[in-house]
Amino acid sequence: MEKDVSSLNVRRRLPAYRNGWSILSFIIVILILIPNVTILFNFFTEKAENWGHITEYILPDLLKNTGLLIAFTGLLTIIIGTSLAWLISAYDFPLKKFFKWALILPLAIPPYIAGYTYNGILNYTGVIQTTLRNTWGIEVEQKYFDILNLPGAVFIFTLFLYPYVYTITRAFLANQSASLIENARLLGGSPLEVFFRVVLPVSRGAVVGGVSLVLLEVLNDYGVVQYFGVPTFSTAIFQTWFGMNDLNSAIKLSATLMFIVFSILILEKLLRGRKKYAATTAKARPLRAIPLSGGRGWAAFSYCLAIFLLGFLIPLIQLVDWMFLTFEKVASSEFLTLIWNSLFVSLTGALLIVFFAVIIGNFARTHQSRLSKSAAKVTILGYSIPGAVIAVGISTVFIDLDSGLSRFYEMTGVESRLFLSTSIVILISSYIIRFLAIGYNSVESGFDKIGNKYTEASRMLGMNMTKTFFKVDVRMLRAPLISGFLLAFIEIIKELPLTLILRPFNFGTLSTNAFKYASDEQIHEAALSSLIIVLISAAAVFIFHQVLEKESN
Amino acid sequence: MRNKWLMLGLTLLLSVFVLAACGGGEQEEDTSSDQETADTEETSEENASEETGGEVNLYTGRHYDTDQELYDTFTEETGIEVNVIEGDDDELIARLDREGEASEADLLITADAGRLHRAKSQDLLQSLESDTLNENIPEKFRDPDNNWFGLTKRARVIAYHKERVDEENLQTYMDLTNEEYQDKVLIRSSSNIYNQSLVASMIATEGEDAAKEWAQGIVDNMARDPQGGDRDQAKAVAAGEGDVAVMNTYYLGKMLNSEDEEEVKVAEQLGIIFPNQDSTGTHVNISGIGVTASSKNTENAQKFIEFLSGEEAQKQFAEANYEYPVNPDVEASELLQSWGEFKEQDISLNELGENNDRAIQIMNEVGWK
Amino acid sequence: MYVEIKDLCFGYTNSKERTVHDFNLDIEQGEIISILGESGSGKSTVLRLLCGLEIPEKGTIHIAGRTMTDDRTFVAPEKRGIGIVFQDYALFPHMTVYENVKFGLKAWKRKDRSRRVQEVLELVNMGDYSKRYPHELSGGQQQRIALARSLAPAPELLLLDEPFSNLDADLQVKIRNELKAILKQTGTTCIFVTHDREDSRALADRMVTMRDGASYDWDSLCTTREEESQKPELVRLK
Repeated sequence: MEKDVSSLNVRRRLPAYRNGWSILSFIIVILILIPNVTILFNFFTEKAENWGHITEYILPDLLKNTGLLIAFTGLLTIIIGTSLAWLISAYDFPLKKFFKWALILPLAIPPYIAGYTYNGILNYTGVIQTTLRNTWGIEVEQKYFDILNLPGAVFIFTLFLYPYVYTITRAFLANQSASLIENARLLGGSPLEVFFRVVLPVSRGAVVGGVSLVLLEVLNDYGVVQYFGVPTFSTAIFQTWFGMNDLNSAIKLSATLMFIVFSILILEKLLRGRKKYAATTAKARPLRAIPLSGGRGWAAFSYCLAIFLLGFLIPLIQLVDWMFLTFEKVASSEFLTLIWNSLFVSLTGALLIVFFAVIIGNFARTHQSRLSKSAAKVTILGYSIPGAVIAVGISTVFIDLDSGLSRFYEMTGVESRLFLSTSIVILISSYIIRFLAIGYNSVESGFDKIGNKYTEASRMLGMNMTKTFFKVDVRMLRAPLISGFLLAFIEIIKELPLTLILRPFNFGTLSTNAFKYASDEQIHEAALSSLIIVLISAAAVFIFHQVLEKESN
Repeated sequence: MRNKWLMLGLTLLLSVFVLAACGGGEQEEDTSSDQETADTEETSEENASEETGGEVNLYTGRHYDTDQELYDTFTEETGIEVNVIEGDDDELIARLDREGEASEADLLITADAGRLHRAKSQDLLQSLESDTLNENIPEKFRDPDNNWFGLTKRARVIAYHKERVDEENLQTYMDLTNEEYQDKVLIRSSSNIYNQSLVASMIATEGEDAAKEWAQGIVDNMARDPQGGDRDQAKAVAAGEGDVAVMNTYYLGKMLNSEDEEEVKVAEQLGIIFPNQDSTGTHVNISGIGVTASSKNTENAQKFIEFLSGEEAQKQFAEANYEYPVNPDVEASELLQSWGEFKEQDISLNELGENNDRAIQIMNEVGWK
Repeated sequence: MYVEIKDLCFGYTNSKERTVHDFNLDIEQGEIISILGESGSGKSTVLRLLCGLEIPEKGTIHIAGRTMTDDRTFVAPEKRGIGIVFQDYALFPHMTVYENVKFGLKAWKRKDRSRRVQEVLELVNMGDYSKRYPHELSGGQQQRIALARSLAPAPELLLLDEPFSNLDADLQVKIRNELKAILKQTGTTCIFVTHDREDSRALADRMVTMRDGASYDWDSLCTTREEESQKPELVRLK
């Protein structure tokens, strides 16, 4: 009897899925799944010849390094991110308005560029050692300045990824917690007590959300760990795959990595608890900042300034310096093409990401079912797999697609038999798969905030889903849509491995250009492209901040 | 107030965008006119079947601006467009493999002979018979089956601190494992292809056990955990973190001619030793090129390789990048000549590829990070 | 019958028990029905099922002779011609009162629209407020606008979900009386859901109560909870 009802249930529910939104969602989800499944499929087909060797000699080191990187980067980003967020939200001190957004700027510098830059500053021929040596005649042992090691990698990741924790925590503190914190203050808690006993526990969800983004970035990184000589999963995947030509061991490593990633995601769910960190009530009111007097104000100022200098200004100045050193050598009109290419793929990619994120987000929201929930989960898949692995999955799929289309190509007179796989389509598709999660997170939290009631009201007034979406939902989602777009834009313009592997003939972007020089140890020559990337992303960060500010008002 | 800032930001971004769009527009015009010429060339090709022109598609693992200049010269001389994808050697080979028969690439350049061998053993390259190439490139730097051809040579040498190291006791790679250099040896990580090929060559000349013994000795003598690139090793010697470094010749050449005077100072403190002169010879690797199995423009590809092996191109390789030309008729740059002649390792370069897997395993086994 | 609901069953995906279980209800044209029940008794869900915002597992819904839901048919919410006033009103915050009320009039002729908006605004005594934004209005005013908005397209059936729960007591009585007048004046068939017996009694022509997802005729019910449990013989509606 029960069974009857449930089968009836499926048949009854079917018509509700027969609309553009769900059909598009399914298509997108399938498109995202195929490349990943292709990779995993290989897992079972052949045996891995070097797996024994890897587990004996490489894996222990990988696990140790990965563990240390995650633990320390996680801890330090939490400390820096939350303390900055707390200072900025709860106190007034000199230049606070500026720091509010300037502290997000480190996000504009790709960690691998930061890594090269810091090594350039700190090594024997760098500005510090040179000045000590040449100006003051002081010889300091170089080993005190060595940064190319695990602590160095932690330093880079911390400085350039903490804004994830900072932004999310600050947004939370600014809007959600005023009454709690003010109560704690009234009850006579010292500032430190308030921070550790109220602020941290209350903003736990936000902090955990930010840190898990940081950790995913760390796990995916290739550039920094490769240059710093800290073997992790992504370098090991490269080495076994390309160096040992052992795809299957590489996939086994990827699977191990995915296991770690999913553990992190599950841990995040558990730590976050059942409450979402964007649980606004209508009565939320902003936290009123307390002015910090004299010395304490300047202390807060110095702390913010130090982070800002280390995380943005110092590397920026170094890049500018190198740029002047090599400007005549590398600058050419070709750079306009590079800028155009970078902007084109980033804007197109980010636009499509937001578009797809909205379709899936709207579908997941309006069809509360297991199906739609899993559709939403699939979006995170690409974010959790190293870029190089995704690239192989995607190009395998596209090459198959091309061979399927070969007859069509013949008919239409297209000469290339790899029309799609050598076009920009494959590149942009890979961005979408890789960064959909970023856009989706923004869109989802936006949908969470407005809830279903306006949509339902609109439909009861005779508007269908699509019309409702454009007349009602989009208007209210403006801020999350823009910030999702900007975050995806920043990620794509910084992206390297996918662009490198999947780009068409004669197609370069700023980041491939930076790589071209940096990979051959011509760090100075890489400065110009790096600088342009940083400036464009910085502009995007600034707008992102303005959008968030506007929304919270 | 906030709105004003927002507007400012947007205008800024927009202006960048417009600027870029203008640039892009120019570029598009460029390509469209290129296409026109290509079109006219195509039609003329149809009319008179043997015309120069057309294109050749290149996957390259070399990333030098000077290479691009060479390609441009080639296009000027022959009218053949050179389309390029730059990338990592390994990734380009993997891409070729995935694309299979349909691949549009005609040529593959890698910065390591072992990689060329890999491409060959995966049947990604085809044989090319050319008298010009046989003449320009010594047999040793060509594949016996003519699947690939060397373009430039680089030696992996020992750089030492002129004041702190007595050159007399440092004549072989094996000498680096002596007690004298305990905690003094600087070398980059085992994930680096140049080190992999060095070990692979030792497997070829002295056998697996000797290679492993050497690797173990190096690990025992390391001044620090491997990190950074070849230049970083040289800097560490100057900084006193160690006394001897293993590095490729051209990096030293580049440092001596750097626009950063501090790098020049570092390089000037270093002496250079070509190891194993009395025995197996110094390890030499090549940048090389091969025609892909799937090539659709083999004639153009052949012209391209012949051009790169010719005197003009070889001279440019030698001068601009401090590499040794493979063409014996072309002299190395003055700097390289000042380092003197040296005996090269006498092995088939394909062995670098054949032994690569084993080399990586050995390095992992001795704990070479 | 104008509205016929038969053997309606529904459970939310994340709960094991059914929220609505064999629910039956017939309504005459022009009748005002109240569904009374404790919170969690499934009364709001019945409204959502009527609207098409949820899909029932079993059962059929007919309204004005049209089949809205059965084994083969499912009419999308926007095509059902039902008006609803949500508990929290859901007035679009980015639109003025005028735009809110006009929102549902897309099927109307362009020139008739503003006349109709004015008409319904007058009906709820809010004629002077058309240029305001929802956040500039008090709770009672918002409630009237929400009512006006749902009445504007002249729906065949009007649903009200806890219409007075956000109002204070004085206002509640006042609006309750006005509402009844408006509904009778427009002849609208109406179902409203409440947990307040006073509201129910004042407004409804007929009362139905809900327990464990099923509907019971009010007349068979006793007035207090204790007595209810002592008197198991409720007349279950079939």
